[in-house]
Amino acid sequence: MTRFILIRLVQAFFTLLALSAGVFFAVHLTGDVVSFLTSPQDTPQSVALMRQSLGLDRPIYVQYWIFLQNVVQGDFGHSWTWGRPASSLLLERLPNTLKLAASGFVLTLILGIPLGILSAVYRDSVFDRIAKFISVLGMAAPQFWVGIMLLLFFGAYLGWLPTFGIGGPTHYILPSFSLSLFLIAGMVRLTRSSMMEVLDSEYIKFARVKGLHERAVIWKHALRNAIIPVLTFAGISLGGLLNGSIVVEVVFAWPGLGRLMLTSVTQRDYAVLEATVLTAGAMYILMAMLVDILYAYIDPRMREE
Amino acid sequence: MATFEESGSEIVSDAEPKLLSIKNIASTAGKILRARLPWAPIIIMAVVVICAIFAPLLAPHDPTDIDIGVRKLAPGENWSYPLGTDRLGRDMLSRLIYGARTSAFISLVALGAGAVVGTTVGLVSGYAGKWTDTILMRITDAAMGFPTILAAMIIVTILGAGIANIILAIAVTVWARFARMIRGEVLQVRNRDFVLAARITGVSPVMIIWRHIFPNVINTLLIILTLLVGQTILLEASLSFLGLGLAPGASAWGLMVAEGRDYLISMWWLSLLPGLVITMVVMAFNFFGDWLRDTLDPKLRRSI
Amino acid sequence: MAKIDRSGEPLLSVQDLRTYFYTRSGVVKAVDGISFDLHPGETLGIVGESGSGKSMTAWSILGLVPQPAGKIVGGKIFFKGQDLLEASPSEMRQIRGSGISMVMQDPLTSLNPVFTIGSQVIESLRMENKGPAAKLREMAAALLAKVSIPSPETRLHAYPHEMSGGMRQRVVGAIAISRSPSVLIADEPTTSLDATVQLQYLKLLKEIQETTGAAIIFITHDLGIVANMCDRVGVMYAGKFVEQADVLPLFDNPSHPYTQALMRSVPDLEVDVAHLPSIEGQPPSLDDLPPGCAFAPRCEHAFDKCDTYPDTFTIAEGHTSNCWRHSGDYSVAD
Repeated sequence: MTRFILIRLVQAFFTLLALSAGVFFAVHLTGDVVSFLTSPQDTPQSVALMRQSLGLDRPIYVQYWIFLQNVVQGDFGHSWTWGRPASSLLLERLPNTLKLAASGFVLTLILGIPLGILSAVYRDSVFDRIAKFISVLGMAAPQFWVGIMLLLFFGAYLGWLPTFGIGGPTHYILPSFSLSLFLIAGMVRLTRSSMMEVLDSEYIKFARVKGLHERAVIWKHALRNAIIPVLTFAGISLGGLLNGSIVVEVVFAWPGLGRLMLTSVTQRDYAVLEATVLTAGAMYILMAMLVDILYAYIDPRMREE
Repeated sequence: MATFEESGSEIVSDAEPKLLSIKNIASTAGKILRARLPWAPIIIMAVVVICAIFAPLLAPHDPTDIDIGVRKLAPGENWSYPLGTDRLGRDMLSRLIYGARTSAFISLVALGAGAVVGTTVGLVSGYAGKWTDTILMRITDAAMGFPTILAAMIIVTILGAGIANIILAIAVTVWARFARMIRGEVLQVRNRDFVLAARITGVSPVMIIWRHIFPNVINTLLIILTLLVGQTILLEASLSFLGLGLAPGASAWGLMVAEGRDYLISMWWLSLLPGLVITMVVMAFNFFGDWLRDTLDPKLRRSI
Repeated sequence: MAKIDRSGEPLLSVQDLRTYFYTRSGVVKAVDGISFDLHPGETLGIVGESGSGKSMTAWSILGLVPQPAGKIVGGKIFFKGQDLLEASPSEMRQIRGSGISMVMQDPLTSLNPVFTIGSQVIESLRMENKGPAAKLREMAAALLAKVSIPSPETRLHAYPHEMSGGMRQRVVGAIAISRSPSVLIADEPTTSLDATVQLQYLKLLKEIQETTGAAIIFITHDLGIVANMCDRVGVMYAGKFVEQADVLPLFDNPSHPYTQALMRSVPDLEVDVAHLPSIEGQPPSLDDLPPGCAFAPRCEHAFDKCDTYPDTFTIAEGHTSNCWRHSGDYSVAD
């Protein structure tokens, strides 16, 4: 198990390194940063001076090495649109996105998994019907539209809930629900089918033959097995949360990483873009690693791989 | 990430081996036609396709036609504009019809490209095994989990806006799904007698993959393709909602929702209608994909 | 083989059991009027091709017919005098494991892959034995030793995937007998094992029976196993017993054409691994049975009377067969 964790750690490290290289070279080889900082009136000498001061005259791999050293120290460079270090922007926005993603993730787990299980165990019951409705709707309705419609109905029409920005707990309700509906749908669907498959298996029949209580059969024997693919999905869904948070932050004017990322793209603010993309990517890679480890803990067959 | 397919690699299905032939295509087609067809999704899908192809003939107005005289009409207010108009007097119905064209074009081309790349990777990875497989699958896992909108944003940033780059961005994010599933299928076929026989008689790997393995994964390919159409449309809509790629004023469903966002209270139909259309269309494709999977290959239920 | 005392009350008495499945394509009569008595220490073999309703008979007795499609629509099942079809779910749960237990077909999938062998054995023991964990572990190890698993203490920590198929089947057996049931159902327990392991396992089952005195219902399609294991045999076809007899009379004088066909398809009864008897034609699909004898379409002796279901004819004391050939009406010599 320790060996397994170590391997995953090393893998995560190299994936992260590859991501940083990908982002860095993609940005630096395709767009000339200096051309955005200078105007046509600048003399070639001043442009060259600027190049030198930014270190852009050195070979690209040297630049990458310096970039890496800086990133490790938490320095992503200077944002020219905001006029402040990208890292300070990041630190300001990241917590907001994490809070939103966390509340969306919790919502996904506490609504998705139980509903999926209930709908598999009590087939054709009222749970099953609710589960089917949510999974069909959630898989099809675009997140941004769900957000806007919720905002229109609960915010503008009924006036019950705040519709934009960050604030008290009520500010989280609409954004986290719009963020997680798609994932809840996937979770319900997956838990349901996984549970149904497990309930059909020989070892569940054998657990019943043993005379075990139905509660133990479902919540111990079946759940532990059914949860394995669900966990994988939870891991994958973290990517989905990041995705969704970009859209949802735009809809609800949420001051988070996603919106920062989007503006950095449209403004071509490379320092911020690199900072946000790397942070988002790193978050994804680390979470995927944690899920893998958890997975090996639950399913003994995985440990030997 | 750990793989499920591996554990299933030894399961040998007793189905007949398939070769690429008219007969097999006919048998798949027969299977589809014999089952009870899900008419509602098929009709919606047909409407989208017809709208996409014949948009200029079907749309009552030019979708870009600005006419201040008929601006801000609610649906039903003026029957010449059955679904209303926006703040510039553009006809909602016509814009929705042209939006089908944008959506269908981008989604299908991107999905097609993703399918070609992903299937190739899946076939090679599954057949070659060993380190080729390990490396390709690590890349696939990374690509599969990578947030799609994030990837699209990076591509649009680097290459600039435009339909071609949007297509590329979507293709880059969908290929991995094909690769994973196809590889899983290949693992099940790889060690069956007819493949081993071909190998022993010295058939080249390329020919083995093409003649003996590929025909056995076609059903799976078809199913993934259908199941992914909905997700691709959603992704395309999200990108156009965020304003990545398409020029403002273009007729795209996601863009229309975004434009209507500023007039939510005064003109609710601007955002409501295109969103409703997206939801219905995606639902139709999802239903059809599920149905196709259950009809052609119920085993796949666990993996997709 | 020890003589079975059949004078007392039967341990398990199944009377005219009918288990039907209601599916979209019609009613499937998986079990359609099965009756038998099982006495203490007796081994009853139920023989038939797959899909003849053997397993469903077992699930019906255990009260675990797949829901919601399956339903026991008629008959009675008396276990130690109690009608199981009238028993409440919690009473049934009490009986499962401790009164009637079962070993299922596939040793690879009968054990839960995510729990250790020990925890799965102990889980069963704990239902009857209160006590400290250490004591339960000891009992579990003793139980594994009883089914001849080498170094049982270390095996308790193993996961199912770390053991061979034969070892897993032994664990399943250990769990099944952990609460000393008086009836043990073995549903093709050796089909997926290879020949030598099969023999060892059958020997083990016999030993278990000798030490515990349990009655066994042995479900199989393998007449070789029946000859070795069983005292009494019911030959099942399309949800019904077509012939019932003690094991020796059955092999001496197989009377139903289906039994005869089964015997012919076994090359040599001394060979225990005689698998998969092949009889010409397909077993009938249970949702579309002919009105008369279900075997008639495959039967070389079929004649016009076979359009109605045959009466039960007594061939000898305790030996019955459901075939019109035993009536006076059958005269065509073949």
